[in-house]
Amino acid sequence: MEDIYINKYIDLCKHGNTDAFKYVVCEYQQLVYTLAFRILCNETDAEDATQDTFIKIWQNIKKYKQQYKFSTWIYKITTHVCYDKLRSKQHIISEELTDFVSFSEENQEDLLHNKELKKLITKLSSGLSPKQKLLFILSDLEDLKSEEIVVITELSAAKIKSNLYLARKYIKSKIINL
Amino acid sequence: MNNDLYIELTNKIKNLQPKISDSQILTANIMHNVERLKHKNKYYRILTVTSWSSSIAASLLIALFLFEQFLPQNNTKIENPQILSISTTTVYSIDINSEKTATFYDFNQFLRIKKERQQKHRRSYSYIIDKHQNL
Repeated sequence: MEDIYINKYIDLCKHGNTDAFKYVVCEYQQLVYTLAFRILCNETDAEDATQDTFIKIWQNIKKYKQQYKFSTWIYKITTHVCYDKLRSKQHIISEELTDFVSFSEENQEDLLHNKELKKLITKLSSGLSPKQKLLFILSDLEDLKSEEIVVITELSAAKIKSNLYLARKYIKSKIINL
Repeated sequence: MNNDLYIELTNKIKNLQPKISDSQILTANIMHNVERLKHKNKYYRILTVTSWSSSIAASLLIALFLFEQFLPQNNTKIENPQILSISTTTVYSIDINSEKTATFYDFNQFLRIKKERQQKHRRSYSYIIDKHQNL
């Protein structure tokens, strides 16, 4: 979506237009869900995080400054929401529950697809610190520029570089064992 | 070798985008929450405005009450000692230059004159009565 169009919708959202916001939700839902899933490695938690992210976006839409890309701002909110979720103890409980629930779902194909992805990410990033995992996801999976990562993570470029180097090194060492 | 495997794996993950079980339901849930928030915000805005205005009114009333309570006390504090000083002292010892004490002095003088007049009347009446009785 072009920035000019999205800015029009954002302006409408700032005036309380829910129809415009619905359009924004439809446009960015997959992006938010993908990032949330990659961080949390859980379907239900990722859906909850997506909902929470969009609610936060609605609540803070007036604070959005157009000097940054809207997607960068969304990434920032999503990472904050996901890390709040990771910090809470509920994450562990819900993870156990979803494994049980997933077998009773209708769309087994999607679940298997998600499960494979979940396994892959967990295997690669299980030993990484939350910061390193986030940087690996943002840089190598989401293909974001370093300037955008600086805005999202609020870390310095040097810190990002060193953490990313360590993350890549760790993952490369793990690949041999896979 | 490792680098190639790394790129291959990251590409695999990139291509394996997670699928939302039901995107329409998720959108509907988000919009439902947003609508609820919108109404809640309106309600809270009204509530905060009323609470603020009532608290301002209440604090003004308290301030007025305190003002009424404490300011007249200050006035009586000024007046009371004067009255006390007047009542404890005699008319002749009062400072006549003072405005209030001067009025108090006039009032006492008026009472004295009235008393003298009454005594004079009484004396004249008693003289007339005695005269009549002698007749």
